Amino acid sequence: MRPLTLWRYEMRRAGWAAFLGPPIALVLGIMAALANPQPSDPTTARILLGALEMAIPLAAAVACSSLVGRDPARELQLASPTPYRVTLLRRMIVTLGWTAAVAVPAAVVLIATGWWARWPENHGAFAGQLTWLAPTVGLSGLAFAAGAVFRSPGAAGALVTSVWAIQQFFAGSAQAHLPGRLLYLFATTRGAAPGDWTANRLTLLGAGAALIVFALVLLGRSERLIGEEDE
Amino acid sequence: MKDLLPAYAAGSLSGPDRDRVRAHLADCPRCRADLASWQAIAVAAAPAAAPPDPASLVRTVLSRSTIEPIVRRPPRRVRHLVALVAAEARLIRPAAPIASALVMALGAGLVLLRTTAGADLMLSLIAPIVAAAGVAGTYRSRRDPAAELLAATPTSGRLLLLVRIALVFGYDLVLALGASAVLTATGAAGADGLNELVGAWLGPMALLSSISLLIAVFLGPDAALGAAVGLWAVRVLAGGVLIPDDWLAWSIIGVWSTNAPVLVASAVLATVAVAISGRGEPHGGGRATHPM
Repeated sequence: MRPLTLWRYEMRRAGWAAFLGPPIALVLGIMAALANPQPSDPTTARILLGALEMAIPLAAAVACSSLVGRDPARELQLASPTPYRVTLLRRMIVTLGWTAAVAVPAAVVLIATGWWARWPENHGAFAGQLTWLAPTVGLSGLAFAAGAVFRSPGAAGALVTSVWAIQQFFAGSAQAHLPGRLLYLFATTRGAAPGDWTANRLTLLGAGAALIVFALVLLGRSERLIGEEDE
Repeated sequence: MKDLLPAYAAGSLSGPDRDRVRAHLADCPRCRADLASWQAIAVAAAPAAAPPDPASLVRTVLSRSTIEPIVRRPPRRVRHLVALVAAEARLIRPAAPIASALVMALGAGLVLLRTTAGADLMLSLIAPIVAAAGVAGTYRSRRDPAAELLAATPTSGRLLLLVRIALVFGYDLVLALGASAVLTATGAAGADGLNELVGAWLGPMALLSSISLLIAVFLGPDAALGAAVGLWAVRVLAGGVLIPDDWLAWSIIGVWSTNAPVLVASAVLATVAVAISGRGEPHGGGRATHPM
């Protein structure tokens, strides 16, 4: 199979949630900015960056939570020479790649129109891309690992959404101690301790990568993937 | 010798003749075959056993009915329903209820450890999305290992869906009630009583779950999960960064609260979903007459 054909196949298998989630999240964020009754520059800029930091990572994570556990060709995949976890990793790359394809142009437009610079905590055009990249990788890694552990998209999706919602509502409690500050998802638009932002972003990236590796190790035990029929 | 076989089969032959026939039968397979036929005729023609005496029969039955206890079995319909619930419970993978319990325990644990404030807020955040995510997976799709078997069963698809919803939603309801009771009993809920705590999550849980079910019936489990997460994210963001604290935020919060209109709307949505689920074939399933 040619590589392009293979990647196109994996894009189809990643599902509609992966394809539609990030653009819908971005559109909702833009609509929220347009509906903002206080159109002062920093407030609207914060909403627009919030769409990148809050909405897009959640959409990507929910798509990643559906990767494990809902493949009707799972037994066929397990019988093929390519390890199934490599296939799932490929689908995750497709999902995150599509998320980046939505987020990067949106960020470029915000930078070009000046909205990016109007939020005081923007951290520049290049490093500032960690605004959406770090929470996307961190939350998607958690979703992928939860999917590998529970093998239930619903359970993994509920866990990820709960963590996201708890961090939204209990921002003060989540940042009360160093580990909480380093793992806080919304450090750009909801504030971080001075000097913590870079460490926070790198920690989220590292935690996401570690969770993906954990999920891949778990998915290497193929008997876990086909055992559900006996339950 | 053949003339003696009928009498031998009937057992009416005298001693010497009977011994002679028996000795002959030992060496003659053909006569043994004939004898088998005669014996079958003799059994069929034998007089039936004498009928029991009606008076003693009635007396025996009446006395036995007074001595032996009456075994009362549940009605057939109830037994059928219990069997259905047991069968559906076996089809639910243990990972999903375990994950629901873990997420609920995470929320209750954070409140108990005093790391966050507001038991009502915590439960109102977690309980609805846990239930809606569970309900999103209840409707059959072709990815369900038992989908073909269930499509072939004579039991109504609506009844099967109702039973599964009752199991999944009922389990999450019990989990949320348990967490509310624990937080109230330990004083972590502050001044809030059990009623206030339940009121914080019951309406949103019912509404989000019914919307999730309706979308699952129309578009499948992935779309239902995505829609439930999206709707809940909008609720969480109301009054926050993306949706400032104004009339729009308060309208959104008003929709996600416990009151009679919300509960009635949830019941109507769930009823519509169950009614629609019985029409046609499950979403995503290839039709029985799908051309090869």
